[in-house]
Amino acid sequence: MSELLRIEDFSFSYRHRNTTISILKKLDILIFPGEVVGLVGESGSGKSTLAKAILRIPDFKYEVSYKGSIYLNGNDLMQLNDTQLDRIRGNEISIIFQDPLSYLNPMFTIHRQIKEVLKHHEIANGIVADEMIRRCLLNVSFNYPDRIMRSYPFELSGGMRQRIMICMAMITRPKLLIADEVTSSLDALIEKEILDNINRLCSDYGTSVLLISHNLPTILKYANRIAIIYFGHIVEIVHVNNAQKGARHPYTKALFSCALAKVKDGVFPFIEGSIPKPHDVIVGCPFHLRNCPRAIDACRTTLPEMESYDEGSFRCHNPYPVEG
Amino acid sequence: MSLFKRKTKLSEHTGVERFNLKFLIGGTGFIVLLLIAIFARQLAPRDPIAKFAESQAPSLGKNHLYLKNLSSEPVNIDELRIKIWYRGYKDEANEIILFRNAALQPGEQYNQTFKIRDIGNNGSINVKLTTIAGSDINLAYRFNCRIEDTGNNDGLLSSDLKMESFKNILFIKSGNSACEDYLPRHVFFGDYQGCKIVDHLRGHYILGTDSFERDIISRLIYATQPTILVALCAMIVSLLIGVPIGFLSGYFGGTTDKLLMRVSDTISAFPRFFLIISIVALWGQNILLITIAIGITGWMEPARFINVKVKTLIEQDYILSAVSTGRIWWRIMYHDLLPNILPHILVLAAYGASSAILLESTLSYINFGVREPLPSWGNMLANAFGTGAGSTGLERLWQVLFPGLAISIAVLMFNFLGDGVQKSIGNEDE
Repeated sequence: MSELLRIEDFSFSYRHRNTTISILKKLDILIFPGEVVGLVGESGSGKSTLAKAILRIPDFKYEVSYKGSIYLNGNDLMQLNDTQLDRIRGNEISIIFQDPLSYLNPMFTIHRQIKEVLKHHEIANGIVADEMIRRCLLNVSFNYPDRIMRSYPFELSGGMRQRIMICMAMITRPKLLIADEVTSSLDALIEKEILDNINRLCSDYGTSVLLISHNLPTILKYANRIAIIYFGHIVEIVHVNNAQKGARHPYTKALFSCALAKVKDGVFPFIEGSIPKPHDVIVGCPFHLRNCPRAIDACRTTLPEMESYDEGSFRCHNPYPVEG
Repeated sequence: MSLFKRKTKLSEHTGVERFNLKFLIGGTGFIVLLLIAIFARQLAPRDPIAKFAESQAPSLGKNHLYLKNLSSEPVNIDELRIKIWYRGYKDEANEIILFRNAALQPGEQYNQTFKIRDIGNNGSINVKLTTIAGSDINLAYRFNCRIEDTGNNDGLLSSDLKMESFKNILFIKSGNSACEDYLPRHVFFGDYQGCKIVDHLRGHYILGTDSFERDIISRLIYATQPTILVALCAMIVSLLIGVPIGFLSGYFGGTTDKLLMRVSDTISAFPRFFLIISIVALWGQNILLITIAIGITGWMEPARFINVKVKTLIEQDYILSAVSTGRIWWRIMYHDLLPNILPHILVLAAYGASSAILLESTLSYINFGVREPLPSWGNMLANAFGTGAGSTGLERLWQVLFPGLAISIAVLMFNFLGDGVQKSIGNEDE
């Protein structure tokens, strides 16, 4: 099966007051058509940056530099000019952001905002577009789409706004949907509804999803494969069935034990220390600084290379052995 | 006490009042100014350029003639007729006989109303007064009319008595103290000693006349035209230049931003007034050029303001959202940024217009703007200090007072409008 998106040796950095701050370092991820890939990591590990960097959105605000390449069906996104990129953004790759209120323009009705997307990509216009929007709103479980179309973002609740964002992202039937922490500001009930909506629409349209979250149970429920990101490095990519027991990297193990464990003796399990700051220069594996239980001397001097095995890949000098 | 709980409005928490007092006052003032400018011709009682004497020609419609006998003897008048002809239409002379074979008793006053038909050229009507008496040169000169002998009164024409009898009939608005009631209330200027007739009293001179015997109220009203025109057009010109520059520099940032903002800084470094005078001196003095000069020297402030606004707005997430749906840059500017910036542009427009009014008045004051005899508040101020201005302080003050008030009120109205819009969009601090 040929992959939809291939992120190859991808690095991302931006310049801030004459210093280059490297955020993403040598990422390699494959996303296949129709697949849901979960991207997990702590805050500040570069999840959202990767989501935006795929569409080169940071270009808009900052002075940035990319290395490596991201291929969408064989086209390198990093080599495209702005006009070509505008055709891909929202049309072939859509993105849903974390906070649905601030990502909707407060000046316009929902109808106008969604229609603008359709008009821009020359998918539909006029009554056809209205009908498409109505159907799409029905698809994201709005019972009265006409009322929603007339309303402004501030008139809707958080879950409703997020569903509007899904509708806006999915109405063009993209090949890849990047869901960047879509449910982090919503409660558990709405979260399930939103993710079910995304899941159903994407399986209907055959859309691949890059599901970004810091919530491991969510990822485990919806993703096919999980990529774990730490300090701008992909430390492990593992199949979801194998994730809890077959993880090789100590960070993955620690993350799972924290996320899925119950409180023991009044103490919630946690990983000591915190993730390094983006401008820190770290020699060796960045995880050895946080009391990695399997750290060896090599970890302090050299960064391990990505190693593949039949069920995934990892980046560790001294991984846990394969169980069984 | 909870029964009398004070009601709280939303505005007390947010500071946003859609229709606040300043907005209403400023908006009403602006509309009134605009209406005055548009209907100046209808509102002004007199021609703003015509001098007192010229403006005394009978106007269309109703005219009044007052005659009073001041002598102690009755005066006989064989015939008094007004012959009106219209410039260029002499054949269509319209003769109105007002008085025939009558005697005016001592102290008796005669009032006559007559109408003048319109057959074309308004404002250029000559009046011919026909009386038993001979010509009065002063009268003819003053009121642009001629007193002619009709030839019907043979016996009286050559005699001195005719003159005497004519002198005994006082035409209202003479310099005689007996007729002061009919004098314009606040006329300070001009020599009226020779005036013996005012057959046109369609309204008094409400604010009197200026040093050139022109009606102050008419000039005030007509002066709103250049003022509003220059204010609005100059503001539009400066916004048309400033807003796109602010938009582009704010949106693209980097080198574009630096370049455009340095250019605007450089132009801002020169005194604005010096630039305007240079432009006017270079290319001539007409109202179009003044407008353009004020406009193109005023774009820096809007540009800087819009630049900062755009810079803060593109930090907003919904702009990122627009980028992520593949919207092209000019579409983002038009569709996402402009609606959010439009209220701020309105504020800039109001303040720009108020400063343009001040500049236009200043230019006119130093005779670089609207040129005499066309009225402008600025050159009305200047008249108070020119040659022929009144000799006393009160006379000069009278001429300064009304144009000065008009400028202040107009500027105040636009500033109120700006403040009001700012308050109604909820950023009073800026």
